[in-house]
Amino acid sequence: MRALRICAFIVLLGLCAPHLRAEFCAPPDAMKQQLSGTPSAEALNELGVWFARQNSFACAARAFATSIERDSQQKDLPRVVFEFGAALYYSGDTATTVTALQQAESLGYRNVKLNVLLASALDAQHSTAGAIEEWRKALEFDPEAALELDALSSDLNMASMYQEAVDLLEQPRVRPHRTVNQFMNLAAALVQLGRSEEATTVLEDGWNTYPASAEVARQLATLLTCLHRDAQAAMVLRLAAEEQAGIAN
Amino acid sequence: MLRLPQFRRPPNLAILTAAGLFLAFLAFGVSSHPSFTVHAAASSTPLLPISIDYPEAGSIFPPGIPAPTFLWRDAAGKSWVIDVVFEDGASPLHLAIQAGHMQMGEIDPDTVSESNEMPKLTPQEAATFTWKPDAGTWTKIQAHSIAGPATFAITGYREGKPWSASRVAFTTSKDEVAAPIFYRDVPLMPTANTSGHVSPLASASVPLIHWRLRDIRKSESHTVLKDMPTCANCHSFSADGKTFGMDIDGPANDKGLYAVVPVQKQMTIDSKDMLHWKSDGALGTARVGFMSQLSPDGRYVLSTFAGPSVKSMIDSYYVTNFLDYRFLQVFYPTKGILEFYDRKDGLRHPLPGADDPKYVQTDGVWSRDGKWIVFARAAAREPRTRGQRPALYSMDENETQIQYDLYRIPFNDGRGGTPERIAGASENGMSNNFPKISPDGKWIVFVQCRSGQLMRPDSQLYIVPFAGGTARRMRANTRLMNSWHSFSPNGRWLVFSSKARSPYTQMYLTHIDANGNDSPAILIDNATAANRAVNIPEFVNIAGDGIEEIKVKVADEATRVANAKEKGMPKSKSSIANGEFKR
Repeated sequence: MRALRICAFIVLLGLCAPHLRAEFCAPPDAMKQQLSGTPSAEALNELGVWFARQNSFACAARAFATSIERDSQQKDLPRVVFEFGAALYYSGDTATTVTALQQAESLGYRNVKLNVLLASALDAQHSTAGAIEEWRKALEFDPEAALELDALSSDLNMASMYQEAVDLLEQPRVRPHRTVNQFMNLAAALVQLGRSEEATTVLEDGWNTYPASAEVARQLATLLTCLHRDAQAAMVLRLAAEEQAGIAN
Repeated sequence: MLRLPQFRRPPNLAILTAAGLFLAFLAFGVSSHPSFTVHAAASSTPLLPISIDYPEAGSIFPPGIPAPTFLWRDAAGKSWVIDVVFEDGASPLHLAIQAGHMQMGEIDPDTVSESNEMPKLTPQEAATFTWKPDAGTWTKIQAHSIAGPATFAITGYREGKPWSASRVAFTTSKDEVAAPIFYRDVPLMPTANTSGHVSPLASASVPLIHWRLRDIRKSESHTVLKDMPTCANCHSFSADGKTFGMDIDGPANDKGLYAVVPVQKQMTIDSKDMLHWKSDGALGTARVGFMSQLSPDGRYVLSTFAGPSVKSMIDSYYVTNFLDYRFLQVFYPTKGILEFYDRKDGLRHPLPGADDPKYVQTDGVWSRDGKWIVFARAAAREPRTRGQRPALYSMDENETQIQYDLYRIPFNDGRGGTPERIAGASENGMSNNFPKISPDGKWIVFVQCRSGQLMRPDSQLYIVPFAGGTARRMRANTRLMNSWHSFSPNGRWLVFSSKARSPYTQMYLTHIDANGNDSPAILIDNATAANRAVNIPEFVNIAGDGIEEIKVKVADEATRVANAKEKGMPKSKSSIANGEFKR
């Protein structure tokens, strides 16, 4: 079964090869000798790492792809497939990234960076359900990670999973770490659930945490106005304007 | 080195979030409930709310505790006025205060490591203002918040006008704490050797562990033991406060030793004070005790041992260490029986009713009268299975999963009895562990978590009647890790550890009334440096200054040599795992 999957994956490498060949990839002089003739998978992997460190991600992806084609039984295959996927991601090919990283995952590679890259690639492909699953996996490594919480709560709201967004951001462990985006997403989810008073409290708390955030102040003022708390809304807007003027000065 | 770029939410999501909020108004309308508003004392202007983070509403302070630091966040106020109103008729306080931003505490340079991080403020803490009443003001607040609550009202001013306000009510208990807290004060410095094996602490750093005593009426703790060249673990005191016990490793990392000494102001642990968990073979060859507890009268030591069928420690404990200093170790027994050591005959004895090898029986604790033992039990299993994937972080699903239930048996002068399952602390799909019995024998406070025990991020404190019943989640639980609790000798206070404010664990108090109701957590401030962790706090039934110093003379030269050899070996986290691309 694993062999079949690898075969299918190698076919995929062939499909994406034209893209990978598009960039001129010159190896460093120090590696030319070990890359002469038929280089080993190990040498190609080292080359891939070198290209990645030069930010030549398409070249890195090509080196990793060639390595996988050369030796699909290599000991470190799950990691190499992950590196291939990561290089694809940074080269901008998010569609192939998804396939590569899912392959790395199915081969047993476990690293939070795999889940973060895969989730980001899925988001870029508008595959929200898949992205939600990967953001959740990434959060298992660090439940307080701001990037993952920002992205997951956004995706949950986009998928109309408002209660899940509330549950995520109301976790006691998360509260002291909430970012502006998280306050906004939480309030948005609460409003969608018809819990506008709670949404107001969240935004008040958010504004007390981020007094310089014009975004939070504006949303808070909007919500206060809708709740007929006009005087308070005016106070928020005035203070936000002063804050912005202070920042501008 | 390659770094992940700063990911941003996809732009379409940002738009949708803001737009979603607006659309929600259109789709659902916004309910217009009467809103909670705070008004300035002499004005009808509705003010903006201040977020008061500490103390929480309903907090109960112990009498005599030094002034706490009040914490709040306020986007509107530039200066603040505090009014404290008392229900006992005392004249209120009206104070224009100078508030500062929250700061990190003192740093211990010896425990700064590449494998940990300097403590840092959360976004919430970075926005927090603080005020600490002077001693005279706090004394008055305490004196007049016993009969009824004191209401702490804070008003934020800007350009001479009130803009924001909030209030919180708290009380001071008439119940004294009346005993100091003995605790371990540890660095969080996980290390990996060249082969990648991770240890919670390098042997060379073991002397950085301190043991301290805190009289909660004082503003700082007193170090009673430090510079131990060998590892020492769980400590225990007899209920009468006269006897102290502690696991201490002997020469060649011998973990078969336990120290028992009388409690005095000047204590010395000498070779003559060491118990050897010797085995005659009938009790098995594994000699490692776990969570040993002295009996109330100090005669017995109750502990978990592997049992006769298990050869070594690694066959009975699931242990995984991580380089993440926040939760650096997972550690719990999967096999084991309770045994007691009788200091009169110098022998270990299995405790009938808690000695069934089909189960792991652990965490045994005594009732104050010495008649009952409460313990945690689960079906025995191998610590690891063949092909089991390694856990990469605390609470990884690849950890060996185990859920303990609480049981009790009579001690019966060592004859034990039939174990009775404690309803409310068992068979609930969770791991119920680390029980402690209230001194009046009415309650058990225990930890509940998803799996395993000790230092679990999701651990929460629960209270259940001693005979079993409905367990209640305690009010004092904080947002992250609540564990290592201990009752004060009068039973009215519980101390526990938590990572609520920092990955560097701190200790907290909660008041428990006769009906088992507890109150929000009160921080015991300044228990250690901001980059050190407090663990295993235990009340000791002695005067506040009852221990001045503990000297350990059994420290072995061989251990010193071994430690010296290990110096320089630890690898930092950053050199173990880095970016996506490495070879």
